[in-house]
Amino acid sequence: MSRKLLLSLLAVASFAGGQAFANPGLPEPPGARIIHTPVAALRENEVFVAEARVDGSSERVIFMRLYFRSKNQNSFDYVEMAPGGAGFFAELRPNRFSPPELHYFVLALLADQNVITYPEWNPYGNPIIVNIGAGVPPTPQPQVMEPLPEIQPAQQPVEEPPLPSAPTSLDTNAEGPVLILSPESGEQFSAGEDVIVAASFFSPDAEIDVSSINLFVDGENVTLQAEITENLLTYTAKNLPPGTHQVLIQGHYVSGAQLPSASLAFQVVGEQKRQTAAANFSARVFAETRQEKISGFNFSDNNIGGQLSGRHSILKYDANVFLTTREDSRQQPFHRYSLNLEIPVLGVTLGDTYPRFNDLMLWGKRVRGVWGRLHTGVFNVDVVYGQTNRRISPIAAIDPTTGQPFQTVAGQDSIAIASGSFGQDLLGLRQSWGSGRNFQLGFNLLKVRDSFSKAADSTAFFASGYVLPPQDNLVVGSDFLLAFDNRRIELTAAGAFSLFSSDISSGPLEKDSLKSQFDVNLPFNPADLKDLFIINASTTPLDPRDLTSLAYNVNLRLNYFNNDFRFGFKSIGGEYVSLGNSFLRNNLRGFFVDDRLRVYQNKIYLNFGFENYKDNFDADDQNPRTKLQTFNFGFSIYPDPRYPNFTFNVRNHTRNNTPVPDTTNIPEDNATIDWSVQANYDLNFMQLRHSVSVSYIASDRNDHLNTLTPIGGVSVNLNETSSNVQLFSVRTQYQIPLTTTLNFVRNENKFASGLNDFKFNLFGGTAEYLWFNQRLRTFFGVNLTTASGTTITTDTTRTITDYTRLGFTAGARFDIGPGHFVSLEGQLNRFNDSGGTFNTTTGSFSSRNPSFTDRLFRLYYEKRF
Amino acid sequence: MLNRFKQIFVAALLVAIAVSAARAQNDKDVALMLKTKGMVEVNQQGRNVWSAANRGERIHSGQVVRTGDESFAALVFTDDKTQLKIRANSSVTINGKREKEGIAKRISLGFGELWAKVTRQNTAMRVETPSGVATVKGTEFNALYLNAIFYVYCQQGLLEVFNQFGTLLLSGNEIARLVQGQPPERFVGNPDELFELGDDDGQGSTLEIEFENQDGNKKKLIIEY
Repeated sequence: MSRKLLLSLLAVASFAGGQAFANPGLPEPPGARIIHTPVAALRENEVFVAEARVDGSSERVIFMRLYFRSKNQNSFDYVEMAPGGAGFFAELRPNRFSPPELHYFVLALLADQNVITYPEWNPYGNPIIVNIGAGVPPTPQPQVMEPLPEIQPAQQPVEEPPLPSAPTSLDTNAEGPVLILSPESGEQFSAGEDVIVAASFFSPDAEIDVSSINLFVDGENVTLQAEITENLLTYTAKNLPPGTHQVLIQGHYVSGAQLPSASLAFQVVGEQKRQTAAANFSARVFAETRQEKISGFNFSDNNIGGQLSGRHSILKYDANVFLTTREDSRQQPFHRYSLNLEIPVLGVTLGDTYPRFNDLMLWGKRVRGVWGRLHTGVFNVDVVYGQTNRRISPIAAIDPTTGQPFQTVAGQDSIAIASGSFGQDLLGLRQSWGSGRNFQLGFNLLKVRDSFSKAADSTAFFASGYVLPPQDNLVVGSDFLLAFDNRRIELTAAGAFSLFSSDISSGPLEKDSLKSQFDVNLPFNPADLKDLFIINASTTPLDPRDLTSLAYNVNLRLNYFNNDFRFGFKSIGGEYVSLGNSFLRNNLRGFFVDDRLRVYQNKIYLNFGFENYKDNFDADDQNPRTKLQTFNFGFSIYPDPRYPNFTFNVRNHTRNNTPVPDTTNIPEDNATIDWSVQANYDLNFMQLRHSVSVSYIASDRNDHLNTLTPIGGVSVNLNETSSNVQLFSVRTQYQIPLTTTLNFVRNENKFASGLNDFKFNLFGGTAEYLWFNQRLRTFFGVNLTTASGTTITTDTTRTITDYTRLGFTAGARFDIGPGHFVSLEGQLNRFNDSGGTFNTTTGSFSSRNPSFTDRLFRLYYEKRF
Repeated sequence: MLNRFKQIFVAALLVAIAVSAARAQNDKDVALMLKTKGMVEVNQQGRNVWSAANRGERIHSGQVVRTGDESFAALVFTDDKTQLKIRANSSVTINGKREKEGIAKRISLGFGELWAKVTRQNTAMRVETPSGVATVKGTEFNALYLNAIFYVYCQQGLLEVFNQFGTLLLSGNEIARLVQGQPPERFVGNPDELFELGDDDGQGSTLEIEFENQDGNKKKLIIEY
């Protein structure tokens, strides 16, 4: 399935990227769409959360994935989005991406093998861009003014880093307008015991701005989970591990002056045996069942899994198992399992591994096999061997008259019920020098080949026409890192050269055949190298001396004077292919320059960037060279916490391939301006704490060629599109343990100079209430989506989109004990479709989708040890 | 005329709402429940509806805390961290009024026993019973109201007790006894026999023994009992 998915995705990508928005005004008739509210801006160190769902489809979602990368990374990574809420969601920890931008798109595979994405067109080349605005969140990071007092624990927890030693008099809770009521400095709590953190605000002479109060526990800002009123802050810290913990409270007076911070440290202690176990061993098991009814059809998913990690003497180990009833021999694996063992210098991973050499060659590809590592810091070796795809036999349609598959009858096309794939094996070798901290030089080899047996596969399998031809790929390369001055100066470079045979079913060519057929005279007989790589008529490049499959990049990063400056140049040859990194865009050459500047005590961030690339720079494929230029500018303002923070970004992206060399080429000359504004404000109102967020994201493509096409009785420019998203959300914490969230999203899209359009409004509200000292969390949500639009498909037909979707979600999570919980959730979604196809000549209207009600029930259990 | 009346009515209503909101805020969050053991309940403000008290629960002025057998509750006042421990089988009404310098505390001991420790008091604190009142300034004391007799034991500092028949000033390690219809009197007796002394919170106690080896490294052995 992954190959089909990949091909589908690349097809989607190349549709816009290669064909240059050839006909964006006439998209496929409205059907399944991903409904997603894009994120405009993010704070550094903030978790990125994306939610999405599929509307307008009667097909079940097999999976939904979030593809992401940092700006200037060559490749996308992905995470599986988990079902929950009214759709799917994914979280990315801040260590998964880096400033100044996060690029992402959402992809869903439906049960009918249809792949849909958000953004709908060219998601790979034109992903959603999230500006990462600041090194500190708008609520300040903890600024520990003075070291906290050292506390003698009753039993020193294993591997707990000691706090800096300081006199007890440095406890900053002695006097001041913020009085920590609980815990006491140095107080000891038993492991598993809830710790009540409470502080009062009392300042007779100057009024405190309660909305500016921030609470940090062990450096983590937990203010949103705290209950804060005019005079009092309370927060319950649960499941703190044994060791020393810190509380820090910061804020401002109404005048803007900073409050003296209040801080202290306390202890969580447990039995020695328990502490040792906690430090050396951790595990998690879970079980999940999902029962769905989609368009009248029932589906069931049942998953179980577990994770185990720990240390025994010098041995570190971790293991993961995920087993699901979605596993199907007709598709690529859904099961995941791995065992990782490490001792100093040596490591081995068995099962599903995701090795990374560099992003030109091997970058997070799933390999089911073994990954061995010898890392001495001076001399390092990595060896990866395993299977990336498993063999799947196609299912052919049978001709009822002959009883044979269709294609076996002369003159008949093959018809596949389900396509198949070859098994694919990967071997990766990496030898490197240096630890990678300040220096590393690596040499890599990658060999990926489909398992093809001419005797076994020629008729029954490959010849069916339902399987892509077997492929072979050999890549060699090197990479280099040099860093100085505590990595303030960082220089990286990588280069790779590939050979790719798109069809090895006929085997290798002899040297003479190569000379006679292609006039390529190699200094060796390629057939002699068939075990390493199969060279034949499908090989690119046939003559490696052309260097058309050479890829390289150089990047420089300078971090001085509050600037984070980056420069990079890359050239990916037109015939460069690495099956170890499926998402590398080739035939691209150019450079980028970025700078991010912090000014005014890090309260203002400025971003500048410029990219200049040439797509199809190697014009051997007859596609016209396309000049891609992008300029972006943005700023984020994080004023005093009493005021909203504000982020603005604008990006101008131009594509130009004129004049085209051939009349068969489609000329392209357009500019797309994307801009976004986002404001966030945390405030206290009516003695309640609110977080308000307002966003506006717009995109407008202007076609400079202004080529008009007659359609529906008018002449329009099919290449002109525009869209905008308006988002408003309010999250409120009440004095009772109730949190509510209200959302309103409005999205408008116009295509073909406004001739075609699609828009939706989404109203959503959720409420969450905590019971029994927060052990039981209940939630309820309702959302209403209304969508409408028109697509002129021919002069006489209009495809009308008109649906409403009313969804209810309810559920609960019960904490049985620390790290032990069960949750259940139910969803009910009513989809009413009034859309269809309208014929302007006959006046007839045919509806497309029946209305239906979907139901989902999910039960999840998890226990941590 | 009718419109003018409506305007006045609405204005008055808004003023009343604002004043009551301000007053309501004035008596909010005067104390915080830090520990509970056994049966500890609080009522809803001004109502005879009881619920189990939770750690971290905010206590507003007028709320009553009651404890059952072998039970215990520890509260802290939010302005100055004055500690209040309510022993088993007790009923205590927490009243507090925010003033410029802090919260003026008025604790009504319906029955039972409490212990209090006042550390940095800026406002008045008094413990009231039908038999008399104890006013406190920077001290640690126990109060017991049993069979209409109010005993107050001043462990440290100064404490004034009074009723309509007289006033008595207690200093450290003195006990006063107040009986309805009689002036306060010093009581000579063993405080251990009257009160649950010590800082016992009902959560067990610890014994700490510090060891030092020949290298001068110290380790502490903590025995919980």
